[in-house]
Amino acid sequence: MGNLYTKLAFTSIRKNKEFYAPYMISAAIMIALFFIVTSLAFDPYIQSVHGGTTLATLLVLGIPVLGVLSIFFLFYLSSFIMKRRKKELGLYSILGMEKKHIIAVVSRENFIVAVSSIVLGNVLGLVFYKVSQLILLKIIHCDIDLSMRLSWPAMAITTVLYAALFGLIFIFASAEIRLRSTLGYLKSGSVGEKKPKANWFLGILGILLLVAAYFMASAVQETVQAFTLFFPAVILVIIGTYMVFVAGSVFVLNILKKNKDYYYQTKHMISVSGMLYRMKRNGMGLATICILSTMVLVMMSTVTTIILLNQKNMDRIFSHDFCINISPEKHGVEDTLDLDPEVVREKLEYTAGRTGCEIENFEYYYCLNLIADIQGDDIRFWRDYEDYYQVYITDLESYNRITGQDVNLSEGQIGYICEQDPDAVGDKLSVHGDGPYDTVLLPEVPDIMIGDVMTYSRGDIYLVVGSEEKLVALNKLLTDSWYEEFSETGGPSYGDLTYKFITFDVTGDDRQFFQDYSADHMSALSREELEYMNTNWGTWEDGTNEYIFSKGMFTDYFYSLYGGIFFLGIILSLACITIAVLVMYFKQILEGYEDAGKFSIMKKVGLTNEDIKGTIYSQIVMVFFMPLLVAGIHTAFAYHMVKLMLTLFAITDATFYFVVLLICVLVFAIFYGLVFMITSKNYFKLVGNADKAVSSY
Amino acid sequence: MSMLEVKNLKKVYTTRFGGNKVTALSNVNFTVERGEYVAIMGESGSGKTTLLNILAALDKPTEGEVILEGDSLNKVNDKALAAFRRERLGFVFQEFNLLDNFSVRDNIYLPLVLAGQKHGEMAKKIDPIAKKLGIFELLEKYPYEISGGQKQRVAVARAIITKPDILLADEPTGALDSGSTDELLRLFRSINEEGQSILMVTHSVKAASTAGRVLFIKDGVVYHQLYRANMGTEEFYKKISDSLTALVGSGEQ
Repeated sequence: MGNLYTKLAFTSIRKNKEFYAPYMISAAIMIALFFIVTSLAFDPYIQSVHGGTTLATLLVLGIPVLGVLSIFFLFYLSSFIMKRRKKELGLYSILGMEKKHIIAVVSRENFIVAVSSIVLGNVLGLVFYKVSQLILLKIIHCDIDLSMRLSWPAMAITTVLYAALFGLIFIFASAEIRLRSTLGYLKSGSVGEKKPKANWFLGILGILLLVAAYFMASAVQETVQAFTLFFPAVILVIIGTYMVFVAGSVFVLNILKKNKDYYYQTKHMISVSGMLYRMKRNGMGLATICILSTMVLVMMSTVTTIILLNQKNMDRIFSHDFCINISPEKHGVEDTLDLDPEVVREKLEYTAGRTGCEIENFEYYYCLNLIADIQGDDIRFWRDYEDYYQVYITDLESYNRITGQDVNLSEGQIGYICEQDPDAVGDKLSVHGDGPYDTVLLPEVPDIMIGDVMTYSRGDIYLVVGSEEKLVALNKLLTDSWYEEFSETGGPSYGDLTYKFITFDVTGDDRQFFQDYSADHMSALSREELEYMNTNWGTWEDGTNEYIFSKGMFTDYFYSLYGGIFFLGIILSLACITIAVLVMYFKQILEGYEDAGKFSIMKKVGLTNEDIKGTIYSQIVMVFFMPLLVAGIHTAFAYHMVKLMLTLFAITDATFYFVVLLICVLVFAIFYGLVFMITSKNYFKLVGNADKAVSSY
Repeated sequence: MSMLEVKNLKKVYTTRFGGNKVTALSNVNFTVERGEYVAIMGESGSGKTTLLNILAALDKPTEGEVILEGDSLNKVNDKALAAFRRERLGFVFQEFNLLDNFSVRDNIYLPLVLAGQKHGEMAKKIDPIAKKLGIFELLEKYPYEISGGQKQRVAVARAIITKPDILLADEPTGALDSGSTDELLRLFRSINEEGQSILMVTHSVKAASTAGRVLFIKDGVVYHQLYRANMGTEEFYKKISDSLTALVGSGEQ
């Protein structure tokens, strides 16, 4: 008896292979993705590379996300397949099988599916684990690891979790079999359609929700606000999309149908009623495809932008390999002016000699930096959310020394340059009420550092005042105003004159130099500690404080952080794409079966083959590409909000993000079209067979 | 001239790999006059469905031809065939073949819509037919909401709304209970009395006994025919029944 059940189970899987094969393959893909992320998260080599712990933590975050996606996806698939098979199960029951026997068959089917998906998933995972590890290491700019390692814990976790998930699916399936009567099974196939209900309330509510979400996304003005509003907006979009697809489309189509002169024309009648039918059946599926597509588009474009712009951001933040700030014990501006940068140069040369490097481009200067906007001709601390600039103010002597230029400024003049927005400054300019000065355009941007990491400014404005004294006076003015306005509430970033900046490059291994310099003159930290902090500090005998920042290590750190985000984004996108493709595929098969019957009837009533193919084809194309279109609209509205959120990752190039987004949309659309072409083959096969069936009737 | 002439019709099916040949019709000849109500009887596999498909221009004969009102079906090209079927033939099928995504009204309109008629004209045509067939109250319902007998009457309405030359019915009572069967057959007689030519394929003696003439088909040839003449339905029923018995008997010799 038990043998018979197993045989039956195998037969029914083979007979329903058009459903079971994609089910098992896509389950295996999800399992493989889960396996890859899990084993990378626990990979000892990954943990040993720079930023490895951060990376591992990030990857661990991906595990529950993939798990939850898998749960929804596999439940959807299995319930879809069980619904399709109701007639078959009813037949078993008529042939004299009791419910427990049917459950015995279903349990074996489930077992076969579970074992093959998990085995296939683990194998795929093992194969692509090494590939993705190499890719990940490449992304984060680390040496590749050529050893093969098998992550037993990851395999155990994956297997146990998915076995449990399949067990749960079986429990639900058998509960449904217990609850349903034999007759219910037999009839369920022919219950037919529910009347197309024009639920205008849901449709309009859906549109309102979308409008609200679009408004939220367009109206946000600052990064923090964007972060708080992003998830509410996403939820609104998801609910709204479902409502619009399920109810809104039916509502609109019913209006078209009510217009009798329009409706009663061959093309319109067939396509309107066909669309109505499809939307009603597939509204949920289409909405799901739409939302997954949106997620993929937003995710892909964001993570790609972040990773691709990382180097550019690092170059913007650091003009040189290293930056050293020195500040006197007492932290007073007067004392800062007395600090001698040559002391630092001696120390650097000492270490350089030991390490075998050379110090280049040694520069020092004072600099005020602030986030500001320009009101009229006055530079003020930033208040407006939109138009702000990163402003650096230095003195003429420093400017000429750094650039090698010979600029002269007379009393009452101020030098400026802003590459990104040359018109930002007019003929006159005052600094927080001081002035106005006549502006003089500087010949060259000075190589000075340090931009704020989290800015989304319209550009960097460099100002040069005539003398150090002038700079000190401005410092006092700005510092006082800052404290007056923002000491209680906190305000825009402001760097005053209590530091002297020294920047320089080294030839050779700058990371080794960093470690050696730390050992020579500061607290000797291990490589890992330095990598984690990418900065170090020490105190001189006279009490002067010294901080050193390493661009190399800073960059490494961000590569591993953003690389992790990028990698995770790609993995999650792959998971979403897998789900979307499966939903599309099942939709096509379902429609193929349903339309095959209609196709033959229409032919008998007197429609030509070309008519039928033409109208049906245009319908499925329309219905199929609607989710992509709506996903495009969602993405367009998300653009502004995501752009703001990206400022957290120091993306300062909106055009670049726009181009990446456009490329993502294009690539995704092509991919979507390919999937459509492949899955629609099944549809036309089903419909085509019906056609032949009619002619050889 | 007869309205429908079937001349030396032969249909041979070749199996997919060209091996076996199956002769579905070997030599069929008959005519149908305008306003006639003809039933074709035969057992399963006797070739009656093949015959009907050829009459409906859904299939092509191997030899011979079908002439409707002087036009040979063989000469109508593929493109014009759909329109020909739509305008000059009406169909009623055993499984109703209504489209679930159309309301009853739209199902009946379908052939008119395909013919490009204006909504106003269509609306004028539907009411008398719907009233006559007793489906006026059902017009706004959907096929899955009504009974089998009602569905079949909707199918009849769809078939005759174009005023076809001939109404072709394939086992129209096959899926109906006896009450609905009686009602449908009454309808067939009454639309026939109004001048509609009908050709019905059936193996129900009861259905055939409402026709004016019955053709018996066996092994691909018309084997026998009976005229009602002045017989009542019951008498005709008995006669058909006897002929069938004789037919089966002859087959066993």
